[in-house]
Amino acid sequence: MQNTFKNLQKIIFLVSILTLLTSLQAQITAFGRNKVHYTQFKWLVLRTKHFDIYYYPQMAEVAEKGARFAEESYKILQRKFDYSITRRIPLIFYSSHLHFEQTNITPGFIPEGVGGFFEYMKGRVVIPANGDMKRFKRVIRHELVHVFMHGKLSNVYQRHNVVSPAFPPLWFTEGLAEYWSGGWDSQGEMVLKDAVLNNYIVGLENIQAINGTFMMYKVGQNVLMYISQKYGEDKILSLMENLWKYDHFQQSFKFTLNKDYKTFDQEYLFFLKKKFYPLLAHQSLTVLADPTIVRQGYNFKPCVFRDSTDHKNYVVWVGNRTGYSSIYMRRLSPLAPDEKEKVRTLVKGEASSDFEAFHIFDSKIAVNSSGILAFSSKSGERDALYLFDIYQRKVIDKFYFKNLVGIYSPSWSADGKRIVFSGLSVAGYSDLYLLDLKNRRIRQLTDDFYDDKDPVFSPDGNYIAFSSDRTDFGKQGAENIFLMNLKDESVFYVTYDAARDRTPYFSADGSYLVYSSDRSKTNNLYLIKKPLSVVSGQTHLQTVRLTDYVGSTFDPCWVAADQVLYTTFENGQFQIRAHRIPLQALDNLPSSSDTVTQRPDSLWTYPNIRHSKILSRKPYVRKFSLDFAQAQVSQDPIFGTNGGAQLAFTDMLSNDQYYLLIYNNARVSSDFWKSFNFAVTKLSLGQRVNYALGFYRFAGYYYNPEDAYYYEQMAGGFATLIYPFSQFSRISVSQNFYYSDKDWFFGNRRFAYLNSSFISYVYDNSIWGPTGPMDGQRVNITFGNTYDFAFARVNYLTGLVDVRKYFRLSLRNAYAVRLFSLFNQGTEARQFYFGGSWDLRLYPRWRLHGKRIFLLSQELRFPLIDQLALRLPFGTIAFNRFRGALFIDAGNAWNDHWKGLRGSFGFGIRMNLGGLLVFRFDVGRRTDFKHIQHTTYSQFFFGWDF
Amino acid sequence: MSVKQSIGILFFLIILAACQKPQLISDHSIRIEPYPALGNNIRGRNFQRVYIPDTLKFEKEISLNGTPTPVMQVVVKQLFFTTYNGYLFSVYILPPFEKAKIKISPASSAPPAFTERFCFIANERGSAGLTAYDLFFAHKMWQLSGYWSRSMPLVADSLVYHASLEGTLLSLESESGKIKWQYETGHKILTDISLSGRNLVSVCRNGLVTNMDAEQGWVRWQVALDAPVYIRPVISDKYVFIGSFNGNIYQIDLESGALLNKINLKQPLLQALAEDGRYLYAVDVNGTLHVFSTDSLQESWIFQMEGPPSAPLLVTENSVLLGSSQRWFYLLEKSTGKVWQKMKLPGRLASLPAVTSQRVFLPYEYNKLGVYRFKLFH
Repeated sequence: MQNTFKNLQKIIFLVSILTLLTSLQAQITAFGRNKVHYTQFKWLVLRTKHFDIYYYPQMAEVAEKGARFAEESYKILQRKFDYSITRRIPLIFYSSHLHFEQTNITPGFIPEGVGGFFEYMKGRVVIPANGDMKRFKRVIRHELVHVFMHGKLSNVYQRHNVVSPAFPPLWFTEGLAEYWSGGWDSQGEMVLKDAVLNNYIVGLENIQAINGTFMMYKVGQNVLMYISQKYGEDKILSLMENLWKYDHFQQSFKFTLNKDYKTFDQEYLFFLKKKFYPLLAHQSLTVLADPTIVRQGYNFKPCVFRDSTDHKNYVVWVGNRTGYSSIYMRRLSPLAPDEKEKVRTLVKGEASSDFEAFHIFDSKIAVNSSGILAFSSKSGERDALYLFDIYQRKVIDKFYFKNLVGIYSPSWSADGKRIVFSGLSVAGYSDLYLLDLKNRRIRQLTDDFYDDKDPVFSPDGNYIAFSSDRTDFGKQGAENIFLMNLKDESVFYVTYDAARDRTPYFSADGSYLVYSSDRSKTNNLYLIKKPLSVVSGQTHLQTVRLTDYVGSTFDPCWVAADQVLYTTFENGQFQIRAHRIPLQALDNLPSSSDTVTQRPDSLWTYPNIRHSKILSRKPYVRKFSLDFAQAQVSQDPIFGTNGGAQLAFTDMLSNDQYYLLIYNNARVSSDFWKSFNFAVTKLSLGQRVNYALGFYRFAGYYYNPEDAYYYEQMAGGFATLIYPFSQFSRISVSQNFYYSDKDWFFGNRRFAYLNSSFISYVYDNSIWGPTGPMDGQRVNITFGNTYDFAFARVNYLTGLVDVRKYFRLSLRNAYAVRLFSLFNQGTEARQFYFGGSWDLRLYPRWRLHGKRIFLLSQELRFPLIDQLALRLPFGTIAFNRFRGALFIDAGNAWNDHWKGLRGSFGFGIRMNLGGLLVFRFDVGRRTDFKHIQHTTYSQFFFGWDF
Repeated sequence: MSVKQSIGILFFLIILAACQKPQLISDHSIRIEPYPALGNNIRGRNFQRVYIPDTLKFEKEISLNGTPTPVMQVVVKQLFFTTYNGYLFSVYILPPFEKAKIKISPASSAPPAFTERFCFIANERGSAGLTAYDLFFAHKMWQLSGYWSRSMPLVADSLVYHASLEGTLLSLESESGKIKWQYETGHKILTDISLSGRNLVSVCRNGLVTNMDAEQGWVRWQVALDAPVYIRPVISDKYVFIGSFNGNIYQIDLESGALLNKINLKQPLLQALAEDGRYLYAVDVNGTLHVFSTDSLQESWIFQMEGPPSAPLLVTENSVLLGSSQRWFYLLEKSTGKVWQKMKLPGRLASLPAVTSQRVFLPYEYNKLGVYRFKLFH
């Protein structure tokens, strides 16, 4: 009987938890970062023939261009798939990535590298423009490939009445989206070539090893290109159309191509080797050719700082070496192969509201002669331009600019009085801006839809070199280097080719301009002699190719008269190296004389969608539709069948969400209403202040050691307000009014009208490893009071303090400490349950209970086994990322009198199971800190480390 | 035996009888006439010698439990077709449109073929690649183990011709299923085959066209087109026409196999060509219908519809019927391409329309059969 009660209690508990989790999401749970909705968007809906386009007024023009791209893509893709989507496709556009990161359509956080996504439940496509119209166009096509593939496969499965079909793997879905949305570019070439020449390329048989990575996208794209060229484009369609017959995609692949993965890999990998190996005959590896300056992690955008105190040069760069993207500095000296890097962190990013993201792939940094570092970082709603004094190690100034959401690649004038940068407007366009530090005013230098970026001053301060797609080849994806005369803002071509020429940088005397270009398919460094001569009418500039490396080289920066630093991608790493330029022998290097007579007067453009193609344009009106429905039925030998269901309804933008829970645990039909449970919750996420409102009735039989068995029904309503200060911290208050009727089986019965008020502060900037946090800290401090305002039969205070701090000892090792305390004090104060793998380890789960709890946990986390593979006759099973832990816990639960300290210590093994769960196994001994028990205990659990 | 026991046994037998395997309607008073096999293979598929006198008006929607494969055929007074989920279906062509079905295989992608009272169904999954079904006695006569196929079988002179996915062409005796001859093309066959006289023409996915003597099973000629092909060859009086994925239409001499002409439409051809003796009709994935003279391949007119075609087109004496994957249905005037009627169907047209008894039957996704009547007769 007791077990039956406990079972029922568990069911009710699980359902309640389910409600809580789904209703209030991460921001109302104990920890977690906040998705802050800084911006109040006034959504409009533009209807075209096939699309409903959601946008806000500031980006109307970009939305109309996006509408045109979408309709064009629709026409192309319906031919490619031999299929049409007959439902209206919702496209939700944002003008910038910073706005895009605020969307509620996905509950998770959106990293900077995500260019858009397709959401399957409502078939929504969500995309930011972010200043680059070519990329915007490509991402729209990419996501629409997903839409069409989803529709096509659904069609194939429905025609054949297939209920549980095989789905294509990620390499195929993303590879096809890449392939059918654009051509093969230098990024793909860079990744694939490096993998082949450094022997870490994988074929389809082992594609799981790179699943979800950028390399998987590019391998997938390249495989499909190869299949198209060798076997025919029709095979790609056939792969999808044959899939209904099989349990696995590999079977469809084998039928369609007459080859299994293994055989296909043999010929495909041979093809790649044949293509890339000959390059080694005349190209060098950067690691062999140039000295390494920064080796470990991912490092980009080097610049040079000359310390006036020690008269030595330092390299300053942005990178990600520990999980946080930060700005680093080290002595500018070559690293010996076995030398350990001594790196100082100048500005730690992603751990505070000031430095949320440095845009490490897109934004350069710059140091002036006074040691002031200029960089941009996301800080709240938009990017801020920071001036950081390297000598004092502190921020000396911070700029926000009205109407500019994004700030990229600030660069100093030689006199240190002005900064030029690329700014992304609220409208979604990327232009150049000039900041005069004296009067703190900015001047907009360009004003068009071209993607203008990476500006740098000429040494005399009169000109700005920058990269832009305003070139005649821009529509094909090319970018060239341009020069702007600041006097009259006239613009001149410096390079003129169908390549991506980027990141120009003047030598100190202005005689040379170095930049990177993929004109040879891979990024290499090029140098232009006398670049300023174009202003005086020079029509031919001599361009010299500086590097001819296997690895991709970019982000050049002058160090000395004859030396540049650059970033290179080689052997899967982004490192910084130095390259010496033989200025005296430049004529011996391969060069070309580029004609740059054209001035960018007749510019190409992407037209907006024709007005005749716009069916309507109206303000967004919320319409709710079902997002998910789940039902649960459980059988109990005594209580019979318990059943429940949960439904969620959201609007198109998922800003408002309704949850309905219905549950019944009646034993007999006459108990139906007595045991009827329901909860209705509204969650509003569209504003900075999130709130939840709801009402409920919960009734059932419960058990706990203090009250024994009892029946309780509660009915009431609640409201919760959450205010996020930043991505990392928030405060929430909640108010709950409810009626409680509690009937003890072996005692009396009481009625109460209860009011519960809680206030909570949460801070979380932790960085996670495979099994739990590795760096940062998490804090939850909550206080509340519950009292019976009608009969004064219940009145107690509740407090919670949970502080967790993580100290990174090295890249993969961390020391974690947790201080946790709970208390309930007053009339009918409830008890807490304690013990088990989740808190006081090696004690039976929930064995200890009391109105007060104290716990101090310490743990050393370290890698144990990276991969354990079992080779069996039928194949190999591999287990990845085993981690170890040494732990010691101390704490107890008590009511009125402290019962003494209990503790445990031991060793644990953790294993991440597919990113969803962590298996934890602990073994060790208990102690009261006077004696150690002789018995060894073990415990296992599924859950993340604290 | 007591009365109660007798009644009990009687009830048991009645229940047992009611639980017997569901059968296709087999009204023994209807004798299914011998089916003209040649009409099945040449113009009878995409060309019907009927007049469409007027535009169409919706009459009734019939629910099916599967999506029809690309061709429906009228045999005597019933509309026969297979569904992708492996059923053989029949629907009476007159109200109240009584229907019946029987599960033949786990999946079928090809239409059935008929001769006398027999029906031959190619299967893409299951134990057998070809099933012979007796419509009169409503049972399976024989099955061909393996040789899965997505090609419609053909019947002529008590022989049935079958093309397997893996590229085997077989001739079997229609009553016994005994293999008379077989030929390995060596390449996948993903299209229907065609028969005209003794010319059995197949085309492999890689464009290898084979003309075999249907009776003896020897190769008359082979042509390698070096182009992927997903639609059946069309045989006219003198020519074989092949449409390919790379948008080519090839005109091949039926007797010699000589490649006479080739035109390129620039877009893949994934729906069967139609031919009415004078003109060749081809609709590409762009939704463009091209009409050419069969002799010179000179373009006569074109028509642009919205979206790729979702089913083969049907040519009648005076009209062309088309369905697009955007759910549009078009009724065109045959000589000019002028639109007589354009209407949105509840689903994509799934199969070749059937015109009979002053009605047009339009099967649309996923499991519906729309019955439309000429307005004239309303």
